[in-house]
Amino acid sequence: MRHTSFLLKVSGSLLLLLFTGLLSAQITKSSIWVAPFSHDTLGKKYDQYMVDCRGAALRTLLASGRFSVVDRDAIKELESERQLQKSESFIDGKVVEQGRAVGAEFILTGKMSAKTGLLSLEITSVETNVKVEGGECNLKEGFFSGGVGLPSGYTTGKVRKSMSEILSRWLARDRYTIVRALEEDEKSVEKVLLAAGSTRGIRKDMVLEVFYTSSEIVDSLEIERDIQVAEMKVEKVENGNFSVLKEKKGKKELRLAFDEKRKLYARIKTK
Amino acid sequence: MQLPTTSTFLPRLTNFMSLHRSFLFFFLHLSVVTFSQSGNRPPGFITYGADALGRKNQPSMAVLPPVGVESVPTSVVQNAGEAFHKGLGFGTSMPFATIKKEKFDEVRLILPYMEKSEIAKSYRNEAIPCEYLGRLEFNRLKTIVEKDSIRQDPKNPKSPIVRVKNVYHFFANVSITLTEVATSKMVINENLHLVSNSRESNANAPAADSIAGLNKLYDQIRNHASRSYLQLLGGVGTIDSLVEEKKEKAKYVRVDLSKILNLPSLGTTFEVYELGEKFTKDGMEYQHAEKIGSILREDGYRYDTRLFKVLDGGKRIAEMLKAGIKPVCVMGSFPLSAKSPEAQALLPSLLVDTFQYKVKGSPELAKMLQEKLISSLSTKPQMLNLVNRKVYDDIETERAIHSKSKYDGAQAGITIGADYVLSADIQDYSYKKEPIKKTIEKTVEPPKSTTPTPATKPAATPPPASTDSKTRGESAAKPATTTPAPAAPKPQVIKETVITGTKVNAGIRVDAKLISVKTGEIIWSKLLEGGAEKDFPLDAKVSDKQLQLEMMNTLLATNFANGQVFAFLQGIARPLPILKVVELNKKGVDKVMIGGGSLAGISPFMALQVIEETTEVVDNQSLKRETVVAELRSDTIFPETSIWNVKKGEAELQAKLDGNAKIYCKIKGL
Repeated sequence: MRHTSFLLKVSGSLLLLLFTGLLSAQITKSSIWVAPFSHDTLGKKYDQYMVDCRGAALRTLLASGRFSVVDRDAIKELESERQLQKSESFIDGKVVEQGRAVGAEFILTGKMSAKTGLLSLEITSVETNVKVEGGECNLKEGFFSGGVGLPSGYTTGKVRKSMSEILSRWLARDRYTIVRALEEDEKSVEKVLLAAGSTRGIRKDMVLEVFYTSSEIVDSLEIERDIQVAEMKVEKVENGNFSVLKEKKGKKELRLAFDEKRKLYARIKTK
Repeated sequence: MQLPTTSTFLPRLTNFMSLHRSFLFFFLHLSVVTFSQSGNRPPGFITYGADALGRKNQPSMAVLPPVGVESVPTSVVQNAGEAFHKGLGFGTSMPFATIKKEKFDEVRLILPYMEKSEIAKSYRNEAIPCEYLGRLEFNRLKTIVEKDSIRQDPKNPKSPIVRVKNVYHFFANVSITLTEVATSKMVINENLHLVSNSRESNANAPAADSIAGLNKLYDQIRNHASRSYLQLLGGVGTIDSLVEEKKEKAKYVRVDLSKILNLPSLGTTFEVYELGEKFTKDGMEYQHAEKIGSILREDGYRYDTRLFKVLDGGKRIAEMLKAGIKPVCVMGSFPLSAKSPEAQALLPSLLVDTFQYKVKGSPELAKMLQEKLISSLSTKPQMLNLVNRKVYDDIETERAIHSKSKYDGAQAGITIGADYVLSADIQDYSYKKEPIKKTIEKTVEPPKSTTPTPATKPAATPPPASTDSKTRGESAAKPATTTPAPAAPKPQVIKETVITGTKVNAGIRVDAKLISVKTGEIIWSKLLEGGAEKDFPLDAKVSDKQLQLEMMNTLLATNFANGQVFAFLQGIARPLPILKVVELNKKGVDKVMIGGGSLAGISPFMALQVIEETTEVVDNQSLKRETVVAELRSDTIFPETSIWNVKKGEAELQAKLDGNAKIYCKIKGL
């Protein structure tokens, strides 16, 4: 039993490391397809309800800026337009670049059980077929309190909340490079430029922890260790690539880290 | 060479005639119209020469057969199509500008038989390639019949009893689309809600009544088609001369309408613009123009005098004409100057997919919303290109004709491909009605009695049963009481709640997505919402439930379409260039002119940010950095340009402009 439990722990950690490494290496957004949400009833009215929930989840992903959400509902129309643009009539006209369609790295699925009222949300990696993130929200309360009809506004609110939680866990795994100090004096650093903007899910007023990495040798193994330097708040998101961070805690430590020419990173601080 | 004998020639001629009668008919028609037009032609008209056939001055157009949804009778669709065709000019003063598609089909069938004929060769060369395709789509027709009724003036019982015959109300939704053959771009799309009735018809038979109402619909379609054609011609007319002025204000002017041969029968208003500088920035072309007034083509307009009445801006128009400058007349929202294909191709292009209605709505409502949205977007030709794939086969056919014609005007292969596809699904539709209640005070005289009776005073008169009222008042609803002596009767005041009408709310929620054709990624996904509210008073002739529903759906579709322009700009809005500095103040730049105006979807409620673009190298990668230099608030918005006040960063903007920094503007919040 102990042996099995140990193996499970090791494989879990390895998967997490693999996944974290995968995200850290990415420069572009992660691509995701939101599959149609399903339910386990025959009631037709639930179909619309699932469409609403799916729409809410999709819009939350889009609003985060961290994901590139691909569409598969209008794939026939897109393909037909791409094919058309290959014809002679478009030779000197305006065409989109062919062969640049984005494949989904992840798939978000949603399944509701009418009995429990639970909507289960899962993000699965297309490459490995491993569930990488997920969550649940109870729709039952909102579902039956509305009486006649479907209280879509209320319940999709729950889906949005659940998706936001999934997203914050996702974003906390990313780390971003601090480019340079923007406002500084001899004793402290007030503002820095962060190489991450709206396309990385960075939003105004988010709190990030600034750190650098060092290596520790443990049992002949070199393990990376994060040394926290300061806490900073997003003052301004400039565009998809850059944001300005303002010091919240540790401006002197930050000065020291810059003086020591440390390679600084930041990650979103989770509650 | 052996000459054909009479015995062989006649049967061959008959055979030829029977085979090619359509072509001969068309050829004869061509000759007749050409001949008839070459007679007393009013001045200002173009000359129908053998070579030009009017094409050099006016766009040529093929009118495609009209299409309609299943619920609209074929005869109505056909008649509407005829009206559309006539409105575009056929059979009036520009017979060659529009050619019926059906005729082309016949001609194409004949041409192979005429391969060696000189006539055919010359005809083939003369065939007019169409630059535009016009199509009418009948999206909805709702007929509501007010039944036969007998009416009398309720206030006057002696008034004669009048028999009111059936009144037919028609609610139609049609779309007029003009598509450019060379690019497949939808240059004009008008979605029209048309309403007519047979109220004024003097006909006695119900069928005739119905036809009278429909004819009014067809008339409206014809006039709108003419307007569309004029829009296509854009700002081609110029004011030539001042004919009459009063107190230094132009009253009547003469307009050069050499390209506008066919004006709609109703009064037509043109906007008058003073053209300014032309700018080219990053490949885009901008024509600065300021509206200075408007002119009206009055009823009784004469082609020989070409007099237009000045409605407003007379002073400026007179000043310009005296200075030798000719103001331009414009109709509709067409660009003020022709844009090069390269400049057009820089705009994002959009293909609107068919609206779905999986759960709520109906095919007709979906179609109506879709068409209205397209129509609204088509009034912003500098925001995006709308591509039309519904008539793509017809476009290809036209191109085949172009390639064989000596008037080959279209540049082959410059079709605009769609960058984005708009996909939408109606998620929710609600329609609610509630009565409008009003409390009124009524003074009721007590009943007069001749004999003094001690009496048992009756309870107050209850309100009329037809009102869902609750009665309040001093004496209202009091139980009967016995009074000792009859007092002098007092008038009673009764408060009564009456229903004065119906308040109707309609709402729509559409799940819309903008998808990139290149990558298949969703650019944005939004729940686009629209709502409409209207009061229908009881006394108005709109108490019919069906009539109310039609009116509300129309209003809903219009509100929905008009409110969505800003939503579309997200993710696809082009950077707006600073064309020039208009004014300086002590701090720095005070006012700037921006490339982009109302035709690019710019509205006075928007705020702009001036952005400087630089590059930062991070981990050996070059990343684009954008920093805000200044903020702008709108001052004046013109069709293709706009003037903005600098609200923040006057000095910084000055420095960046002096240093030739890479700067542009973007709409705040997008």
